[in-house]
Amino acid sequence: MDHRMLPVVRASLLALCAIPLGTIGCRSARSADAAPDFTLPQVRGGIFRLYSQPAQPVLLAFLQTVPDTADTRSRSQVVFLSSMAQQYGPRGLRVAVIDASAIVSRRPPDHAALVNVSYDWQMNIPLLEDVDNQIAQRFGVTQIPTLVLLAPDGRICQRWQGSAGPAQLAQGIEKLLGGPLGRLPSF
Amino acid sequence: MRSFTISLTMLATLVGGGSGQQKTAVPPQPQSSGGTYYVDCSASVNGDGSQSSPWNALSSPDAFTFSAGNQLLLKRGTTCQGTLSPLGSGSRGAPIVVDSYGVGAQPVIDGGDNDEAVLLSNQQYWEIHNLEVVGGYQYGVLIWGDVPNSSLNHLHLVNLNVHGAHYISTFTGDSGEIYINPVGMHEVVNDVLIDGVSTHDSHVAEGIWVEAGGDFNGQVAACEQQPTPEYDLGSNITIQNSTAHNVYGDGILILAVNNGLMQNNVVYNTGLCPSCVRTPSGLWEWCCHSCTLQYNESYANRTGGGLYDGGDFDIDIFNEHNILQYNYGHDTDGYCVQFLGYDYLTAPDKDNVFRYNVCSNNGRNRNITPQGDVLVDGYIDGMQVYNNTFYWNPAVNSALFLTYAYPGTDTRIFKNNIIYSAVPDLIQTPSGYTLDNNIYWTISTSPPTWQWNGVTYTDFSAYQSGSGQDAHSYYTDPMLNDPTYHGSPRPTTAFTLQAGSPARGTGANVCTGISGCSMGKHDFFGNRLPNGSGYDIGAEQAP
Repeated sequence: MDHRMLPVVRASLLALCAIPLGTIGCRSARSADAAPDFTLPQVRGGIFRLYSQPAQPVLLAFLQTVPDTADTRSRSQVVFLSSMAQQYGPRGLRVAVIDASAIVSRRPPDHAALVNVSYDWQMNIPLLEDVDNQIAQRFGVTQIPTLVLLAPDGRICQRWQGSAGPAQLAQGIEKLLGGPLGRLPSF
Repeated sequence: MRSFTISLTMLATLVGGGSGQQKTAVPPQPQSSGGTYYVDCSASVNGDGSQSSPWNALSSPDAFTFSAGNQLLLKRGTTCQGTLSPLGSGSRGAPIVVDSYGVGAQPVIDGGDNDEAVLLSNQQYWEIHNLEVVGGYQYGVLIWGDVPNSSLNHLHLVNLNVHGAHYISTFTGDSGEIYINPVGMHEVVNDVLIDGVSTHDSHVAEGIWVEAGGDFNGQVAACEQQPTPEYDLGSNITIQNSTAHNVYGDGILILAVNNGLMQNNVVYNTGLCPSCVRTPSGLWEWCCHSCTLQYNESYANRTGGGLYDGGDFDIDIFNEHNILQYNYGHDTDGYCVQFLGYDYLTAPDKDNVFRYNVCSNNGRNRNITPQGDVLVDGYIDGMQVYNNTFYWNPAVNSALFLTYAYPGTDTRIFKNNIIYSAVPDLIQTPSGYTLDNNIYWTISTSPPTWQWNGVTYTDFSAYQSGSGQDAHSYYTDPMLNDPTYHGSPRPTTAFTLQAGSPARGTGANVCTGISGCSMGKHDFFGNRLPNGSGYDIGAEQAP
């Protein structure tokens, strides 16, 4: 069986939509209200696991891999996410995009189309295939885009329903990482 | 400044009166299913264009006239040599689409030393998606026309990676990776979308060039007329989510446009020609009416031996009613923004706005530092610069806000700005501009200077009383977080206001007394603006 057709949920089937939205205490040790671990295939090969070793903060984006419309701004959201990965990756942030097109289309994503999107959008962040929307459902995703920022212990620190700009994302990330961005070398 | 250029292809067409296309191969008769045609340049045999028997060279689609609604698909993971120059036009609601099929990396068109890698001549209603375009001599993708009194409509370029054209530019506009240019008298292009396009690593002049209006009378551009005949401007031009970097001239440039939008673009390392005497900038507009540039980042733009420009954003000549907002410009040779009017009184720049932007560490080339970070020059009838934050750290001491005197009756304001400077010279301006509600601060050990109407002041109170300007402004530390940040990407917490900052709540409603004026809905960082009062100074409206 093709492993990419079976996302594996490794932890409890916690109803994550019950977790309060907005910024909450994110630095405590892993606890019962942490997001369940999962693994999903990356469309261009490899596996993405939510909980890494060592533990790292994660920004998950549930997007629709289609060109921007007035209602669905996934393409430009990827531009912002790539910026976050570039900016905060060196400080430990992992960024991943989960294709959640089926939330809208009610059809499972086409693997080949997702591979092509990863090339065509010149993505420098993993694009994950959530074939049956299992992960989207566990995160209570009902609209696209939805973005979720998780602390290293798995707690949801912040959630954005709808597209989020770089400053909005960064403010949440900075709060989680604790401290302003370091400077780049002077010219 | 504008120049006119012509490629070998254009020249051949103009002289010979032909379509500009030279066909030699006679392909098999195409067989298609539903108007979809296939190219697989790795196939050993040239087929009939069907998916089961695809064409194997660009000469086949180049000899075919496509119809409205047709598709031309190139196989992913393959490379085609030569120029893609298919014939025909689509129609409203039924464009011809060039795209890819299969799975994997984008199909490559390697233009080699041909004039262009992709060419559309006098064609419209085309969409080109998901290709890598390499080489070409003068152009990566060239779209042009030469039919007087006509329009070319619906030209969409999406998810293209265009690079490596071979030509070595010698002047502005002589070549480009993406180049859209009607040259017919009164010819325009409308409905242009460039989305997710990367142009880079080339010695050509332009990353992306969209000249939406053609010639006016063969000598003078339409935009030089006063008033400008709007029918000579192309309309609805959008460039977004795109990049331009490592090119010899400009990054992204739009010309002769009515209703243009440039957003979410990143431009850097432009103007790299080592010996050109020219005027490159990162993102700029020439003769744009009602255009918006927003959420862009522009940096590390060079002048290549020239003594002007090298800027991040340029509101060049003949621009009207444009808004530049939420942009970030930094670490560039020249200015952050220029307002440039023409040198005579027939066609001023009119009522352009620069607001809620962040400019940091510009003026890095000492030869052009005296342009300042905000340069206002030429015939400007109305300009508004408000709620921006500047970290000014030029290579040599020079005023940040540098203006010259020209006539005009519309509002010219410099308000609600934060100037955090590493050098003592802050402004150099004649009368005719209204400055107020600004915060000035220098970390230089030398005393600050304000030069107003030819008089230099080193005491802020003396400047206020002597000039009558900046009555509600301050000379004080604005208390910014990380005020000297100038990295990439755009700041997210740097330049925000600390608790207790004197910028909080001390800004003005700059629209007071200006008809039809709005400060917009939010600040650089996405925070909502208050309604009517309670404005902060600088690019952040602290939440």
